[in-house]
Amino acid sequence: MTRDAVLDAVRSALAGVVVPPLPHVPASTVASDRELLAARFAREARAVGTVVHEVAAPTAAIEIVAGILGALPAPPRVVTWATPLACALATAAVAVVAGAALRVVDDGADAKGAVGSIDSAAADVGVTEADYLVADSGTLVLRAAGRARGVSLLPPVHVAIVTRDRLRVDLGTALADLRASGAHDSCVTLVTGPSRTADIEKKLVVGVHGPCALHVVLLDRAEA
Amino acid sequence: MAAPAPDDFRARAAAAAGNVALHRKLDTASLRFLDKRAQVFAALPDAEARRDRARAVKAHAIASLDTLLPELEQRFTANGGVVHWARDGAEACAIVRDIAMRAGVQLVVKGKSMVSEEIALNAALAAVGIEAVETDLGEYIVQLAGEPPSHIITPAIHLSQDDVADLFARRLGEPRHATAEALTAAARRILRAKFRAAGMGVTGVNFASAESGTLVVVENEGNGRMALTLPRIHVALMGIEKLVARDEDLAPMLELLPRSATGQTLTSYVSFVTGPRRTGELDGPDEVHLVVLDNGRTRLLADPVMREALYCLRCGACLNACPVYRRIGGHAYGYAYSGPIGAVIAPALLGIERVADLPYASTLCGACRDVCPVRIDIPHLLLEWRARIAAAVPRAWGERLLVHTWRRICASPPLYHAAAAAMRAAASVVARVPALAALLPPLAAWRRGRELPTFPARSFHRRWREQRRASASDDA
Repeated sequence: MTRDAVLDAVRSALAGVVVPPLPHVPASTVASDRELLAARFAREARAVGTVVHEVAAPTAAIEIVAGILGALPAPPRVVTWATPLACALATAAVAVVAGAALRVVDDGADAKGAVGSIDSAAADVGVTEADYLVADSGTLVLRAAGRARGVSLLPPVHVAIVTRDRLRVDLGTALADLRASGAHDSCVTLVTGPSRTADIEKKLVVGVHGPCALHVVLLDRAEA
Repeated sequence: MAAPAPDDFRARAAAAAGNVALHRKLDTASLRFLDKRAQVFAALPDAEARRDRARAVKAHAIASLDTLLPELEQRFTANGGVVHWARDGAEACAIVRDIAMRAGVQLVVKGKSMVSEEIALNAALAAVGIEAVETDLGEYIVQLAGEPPSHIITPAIHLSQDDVADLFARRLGEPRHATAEALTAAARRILRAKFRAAGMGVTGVNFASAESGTLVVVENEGNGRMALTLPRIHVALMGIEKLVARDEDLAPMLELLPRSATGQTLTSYVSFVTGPRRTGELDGPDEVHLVVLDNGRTRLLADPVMREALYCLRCGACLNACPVYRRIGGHAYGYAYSGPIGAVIAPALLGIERVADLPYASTLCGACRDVCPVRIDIPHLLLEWRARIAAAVPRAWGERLLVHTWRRICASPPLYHAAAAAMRAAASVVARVPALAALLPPLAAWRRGRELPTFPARSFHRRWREQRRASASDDA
């Protein structure tokens, strides 16, 4: 058995080796005041090219999303997660943009490449909802349960909606909270800015394989 | 796309050392990386304590691999994944090939994986008619060029924008003189079709948590996400050293890897994969396979001195910092892992007799150790390899006499001063009559590719004494 051969080699290599203790990973000591966290998130996210829109109420968020859709060169085809906030905002925004079309991704059609009305790969905009925001690095944490990962990956524009209560100070805190929530997804994705590369002469180019633009709509509260 | 034989290091290094255009490209990229790295580390609170902690996380994990590997296997299998074990590269390639053939896969899309370069997976798949397409832009470029990558993080570091534009024009019919933006857009368009058509995605693994059986894939372009999301089968390739014990160890490692590698706070994308698509999830692969590879790593593990080389995060910072790497580039090393860390692990993974020159490809300046996020003492390990090589090979009596004499001279200040004065006198004679150098074969060999320095008239020691005396009389 190859398995046993590898493990036997590991065991004999480690015979008599003393295991050093695990280090204590300290929890962040930074105060988690919402205002400070929001400001820090916005600063870090903008530094990597994310467009951050801070809005007080859902009505303002609809205007922001409609503005993003309306600024595109052609009436956009929009796909959105079926999560309540993303779905409600995308629906309201698409309704006020002439010619815009919407598909709520609530089944596995994307995965099979078969398409309902709009496939994520053909869509211009994907709307999602972040489970957490990491202030330290300007990062979105996206779960997979009940959602299609392709919505945040395939369209050239990604719009993520999130309320301020999802802000966490650092990655360790966000991941610990995610584990504590009992999440057991096949994939959790961290998104920090648009897709980027510097593989040619270290020149920064955005939009390699993933979205060329990332918008975060940061809501004070979900209810009007 | 077989890597060149590591055995010809001297010839390749000598050729690259004369390639000024290569030096310019390497300097541009490496120094920019180092500069950004320095900035983000300066802005990171308690950066030094975080490096200590990251090292401790890896030290614990490497010493516990005998329990952590079965734990990872158990958790990953419970999550619906399949774990495969490979003693060497050939076994790992056969595992991937068999998974692909069983599923009738004809096209494989690959995220960036240095392990796949190490085991030459693309060639193994091509041998059975399966096309493997690199999708990281830099990897795609070197694949089109028919070359191996020359840097752990920036595979096409040795090519200029014009080089890439010429390559895309020749191989893909893209317009000549294209900008980096246009070249990237072309790759996006071509590879998007490949992602949708591929039956299998292959990625590497940056970290794996034994506690939950989570694989972490770090990247910037989104090609890794594509490869582990769109195809029906995802195969992750992992060396045994990628493990950490706990989920809470992942964030501290993720805080250091992108900062060290590219000077980013975090990369654009990090995927935490625990297995195949679950009920209620709307996309993702139906099958996820993890291939756990030894391929010589247990030789490092069994070696009490070299073991710490397994702490390496493959961030590439030591390549950027290395004055030798910046003059010879990654191809000279002839192996997937180049630079200082490559010179440490290649002898263990390939056999010291094949790469006996690599541990000497260093000035031992210590820059690699200074930038290593987990503080691997690379110069010490290189010296250890040199000592082992020296002990294994009987040296000529002349060399032994030379080293013995050198040691005696250096241990005695009067002898040292006398020898230095004699050297200075001899050098000034040789400088005036260069033909004399040809009479001494060792000196002639040394002078190939080197300029004999002009020695100043007065030695440092003498100037030091004179200055001290002068300042003492000023004070008085």
